[in-house]
Amino acid sequence: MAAINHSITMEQGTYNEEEVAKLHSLMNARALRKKRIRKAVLVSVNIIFALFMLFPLLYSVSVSIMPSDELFTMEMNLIPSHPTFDNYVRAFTQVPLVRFILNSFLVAGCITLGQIITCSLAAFAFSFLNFKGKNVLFMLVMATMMVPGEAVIISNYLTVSSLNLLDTYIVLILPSLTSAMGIFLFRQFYMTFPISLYESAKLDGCGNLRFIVKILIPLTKSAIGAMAVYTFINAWNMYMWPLLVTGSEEMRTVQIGISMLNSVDAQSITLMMAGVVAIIIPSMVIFIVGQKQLISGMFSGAVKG
Amino acid sequence: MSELLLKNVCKMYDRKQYAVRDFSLKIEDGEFVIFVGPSGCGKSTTLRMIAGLEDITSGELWIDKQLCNYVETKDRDLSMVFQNYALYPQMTVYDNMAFALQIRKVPKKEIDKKVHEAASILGIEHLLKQRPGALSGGQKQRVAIGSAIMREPKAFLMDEPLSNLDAKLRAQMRVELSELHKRLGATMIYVTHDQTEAMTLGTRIVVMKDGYIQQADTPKEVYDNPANRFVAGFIGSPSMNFFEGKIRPTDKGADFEFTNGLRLEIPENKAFALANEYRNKNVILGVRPEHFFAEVVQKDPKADYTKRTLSGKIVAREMLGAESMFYLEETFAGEFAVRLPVETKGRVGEEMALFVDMDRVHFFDADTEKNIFYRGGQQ
Repeated sequence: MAAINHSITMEQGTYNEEEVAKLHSLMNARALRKKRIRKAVLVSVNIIFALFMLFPLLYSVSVSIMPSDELFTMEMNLIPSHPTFDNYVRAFTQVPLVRFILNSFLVAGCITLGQIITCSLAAFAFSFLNFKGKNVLFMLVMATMMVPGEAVIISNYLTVSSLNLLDTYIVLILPSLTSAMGIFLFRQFYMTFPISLYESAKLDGCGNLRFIVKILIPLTKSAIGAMAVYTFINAWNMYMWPLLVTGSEEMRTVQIGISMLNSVDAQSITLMMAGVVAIIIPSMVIFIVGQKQLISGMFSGAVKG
Repeated sequence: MSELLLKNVCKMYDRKQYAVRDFSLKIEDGEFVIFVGPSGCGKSTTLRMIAGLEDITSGELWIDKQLCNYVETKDRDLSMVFQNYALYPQMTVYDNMAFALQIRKVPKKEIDKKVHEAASILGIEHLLKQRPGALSGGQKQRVAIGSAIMREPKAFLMDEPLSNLDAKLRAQMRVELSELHKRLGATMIYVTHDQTEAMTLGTRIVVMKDGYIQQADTPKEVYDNPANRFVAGFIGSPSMNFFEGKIRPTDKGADFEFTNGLRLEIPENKAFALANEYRNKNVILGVRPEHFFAEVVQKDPKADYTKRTLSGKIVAREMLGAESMFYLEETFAGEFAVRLPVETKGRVGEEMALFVDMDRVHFFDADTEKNIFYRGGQQ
């Protein structure tokens, strides 16, 4: 205490109170100005880059509400002078876009649910249980990640066609019900999970399934959220496989349905853009809702914390 | 409550390395047994084998006269307190404590009664609605102990439960644990590397090294009658001083001779046996720091204390409060530690002459390192 009092009297000895106050406001103003300038520069650079990155998206939104005669001119029309929702109405009436969206929701939803269940269970076994050949098996699973999907697409097609599954929801969902990527993601997450919690639960008389439901899932919500967003968007954007195995219009998913807009009226780019914008919306919504989870889940294994 | 019997239990990792070897021990109902030893001695592995978290490579584990080698962890009815508390972070303290009973489908009313009972024993009633994240280390450990005592298991297993706490809290929890043991009358098995915890808590101490039991006995016996040099050095803080030398017979009995020829007279009760069996042979003399005196205390009127003197140069001095630690150096004896009353004079660099309480020293065989006068003891 004595030392502190001493230093205060020293200060008061050299400056009087008014001078100190003046000094404070002067220093404060300078620091504040510096801070504001730095922030302004940062924000403007960010805006420029954001505009650059978002330009294709923004332009397609703009085209989608443009009458087609405005698009096909020699001038550069970035913004429609007579905005119209006509394109959207036509897109939804010319092809059964609602049906496509519902199909995609059903397929992507089932795939997401399926992957979360299978991947989390597999990852649980790989990280909590001890059995012979665990590491070899895990490496095998990882090795499947290195085989590109296109390489097996023909053999997969032959398999499902011999099972008479072509042109059904099942064929769209079944091959994607599990993924090595998901298993890997969950396993990495579980590796950071304190093993003593599992052991403690066992001593409490808790079986494996109860442990997963009561303790593991509630504590790994962020990993599940990240996985759900990632899987849903991937499934929503699937193109090659649905194109190959579906024939009838009722079974088509949005990504293929959109290309039908092209074949119906080859000239109408505005119409296609309206369709594209319409189907981007669901995946954007999913991303915005799950974005926090996605980032925390993706990086949760990276650093301890 | 129950008794445990371990018969020749071994644990081998990767088919080549033994972590625990021939561990045989009978733990009676209500005992507080401490497994103590340096890290890597197999104490935690043994505890985990009892819990069922590790497989037993060979040997038998009997709990209440039932062979338990192959019984699953969740069916062994043991409870365990972990070093890092292992509380479920998403549940409140109440749910954490109630979890084990909820699994066993105990009626809600009964659970509620028991939680409040256990909470009041441990003084954590005001925390029941909080989550573990909001608690301090000591509180977390109390909750962990609380959830362990909830369901009255056959035995409590504790794996270094206090080592994450600060020194003051650790001392306090030590007292509480000891009280809890008395109150519950439960069988407890406790793993620690801290010999103070072992000495103060246990009714029996099992000292381990390299997977083998070195000695299993009461704290007093382990301290006064160590089985070998390792136990003598591990138990007691600061640890025992060891000096190499030879036994030289004299007309009165025998002397211990340091490598430079300095001699210490050995009391009669030990002298004859040593003179007979270790005549002119190498032995190791063990003296605890607390068994030196700066001034002669004439305990034995016949003894000549001038013949029981060792001197050395003071290299360091530590003030502990009531006592002072002196670290002395002597060319032939090496460095040794001495605990003396705080008012003892002596500065660093000075010579100091000390009397050795030869009635309380230990002699160890130079080859086997066994205590020559070890009195059997239970295993």
